[in-house]
Amino acid sequence: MAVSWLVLHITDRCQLNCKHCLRDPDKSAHDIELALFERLLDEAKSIYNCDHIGLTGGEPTLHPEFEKLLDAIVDRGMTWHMVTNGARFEGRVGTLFDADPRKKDSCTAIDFSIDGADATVHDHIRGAGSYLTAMGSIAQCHMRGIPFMLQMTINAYNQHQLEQYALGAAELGATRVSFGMTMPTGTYLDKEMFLSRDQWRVIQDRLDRLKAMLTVPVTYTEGFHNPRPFHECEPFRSEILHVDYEGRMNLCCMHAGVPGQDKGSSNVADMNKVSLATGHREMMKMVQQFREDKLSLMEAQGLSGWDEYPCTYCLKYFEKPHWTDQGASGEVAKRQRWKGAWAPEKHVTNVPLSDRLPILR
Amino acid sequence: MITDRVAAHPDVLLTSMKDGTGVLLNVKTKFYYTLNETGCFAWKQLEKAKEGLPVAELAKRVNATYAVGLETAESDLRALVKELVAEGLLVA
Repeated sequence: MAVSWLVLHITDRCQLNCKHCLRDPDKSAHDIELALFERLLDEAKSIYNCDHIGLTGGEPTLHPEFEKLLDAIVDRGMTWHMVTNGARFEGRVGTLFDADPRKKDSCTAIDFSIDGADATVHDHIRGAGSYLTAMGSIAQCHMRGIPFMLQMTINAYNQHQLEQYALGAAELGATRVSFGMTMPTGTYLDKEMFLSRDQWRVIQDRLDRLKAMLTVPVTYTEGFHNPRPFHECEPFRSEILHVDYEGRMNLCCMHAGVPGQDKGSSNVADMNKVSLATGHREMMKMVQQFREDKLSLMEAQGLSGWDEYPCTYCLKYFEKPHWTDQGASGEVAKRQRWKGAWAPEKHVTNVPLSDRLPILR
Repeated sequence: MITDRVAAHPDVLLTSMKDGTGVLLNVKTKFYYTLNETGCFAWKQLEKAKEGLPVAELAKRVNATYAVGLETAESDLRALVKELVAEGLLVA
């Protein structure tokens, strides 16, 4: 089916400060407008008979009109899932489910971003106390019969825990375990998170072994080694369309609000101004150009090394931070991470406190 | 042998539900344990007391809230505590 679901990055707000976060807004927080959200749902249903919405961010539950967004989904008879850090499940999502069981019934999965098999590793990446909070939210899902999955973004901090993590997810009752590659953030933290191509190949072998061994489905996202130059991910195949919190249609979450977001052409259309179909056409043109440019590079014997890692190649193509054998390359993040975790040059920032990402609590 | 004072194990999380019941999750073993309303109440009392509580004191608190009779409360709690200690959820 064409466009089986839309992924909407509904906000760039987040209450955590994860080391591998790609967002670099360098300005006030943005939330997708409710009217745009509703129009996109209507158009997706009308054009593609699309009946599923993925919500991501930032932390989706921090959208000031999160309840209304869920209303828009269930009122249209659509299903949804959400990627979350689990920090607001009990107070926010659980309350919404109690008040309107349709929201729970239409939820196909809560995807918890858990980046370690224990509190020590997870909290090192995502912040003190975040592991136990997320575990409490998982217990909520368990009690309420809500399907949930766990997803880990692998980097040098946590790669030693893959097996322990997958087993723990199965023990918790997750319906799936997913692993992704950390991509460069454009900050000094990239140096600490870097894994070489050889290390990624070993990790991929370990994940393949887990897939074969465990009964819980184990998946890994695009980005891992793939020698087929024209292998295409779901957004390239038009199976998923992504729109971010500013209404920009782009390839995926790794192109929304990242360093260098205004460079290259991965933001293909402003959905505040054009229809979903028009944005989709622009996406198709961009994908075709991407393919042709890759063919030209192959013709010139220009593909090598990290180019066999599709997401890394894609980020390089669109002038975003990307991995090289020497570490991260490309754009540098502009903003200071809130709580002062990062600023250029260890780590002085010109971004005033008032302009940093506001947080809703 | 269970000593009289018991405390919640720091690796165990209580998640409460609207109806007063709850689930304990041992984050180390990843086992879930369902608690009824009274069990949930008792666990919350233990969570509040950093040094734990004697079972007799716990029984008093349960009886003050649920009026089940002190003897019944203490007897039921001793059975629950024994089970929770065996599972490593309480530290005796």
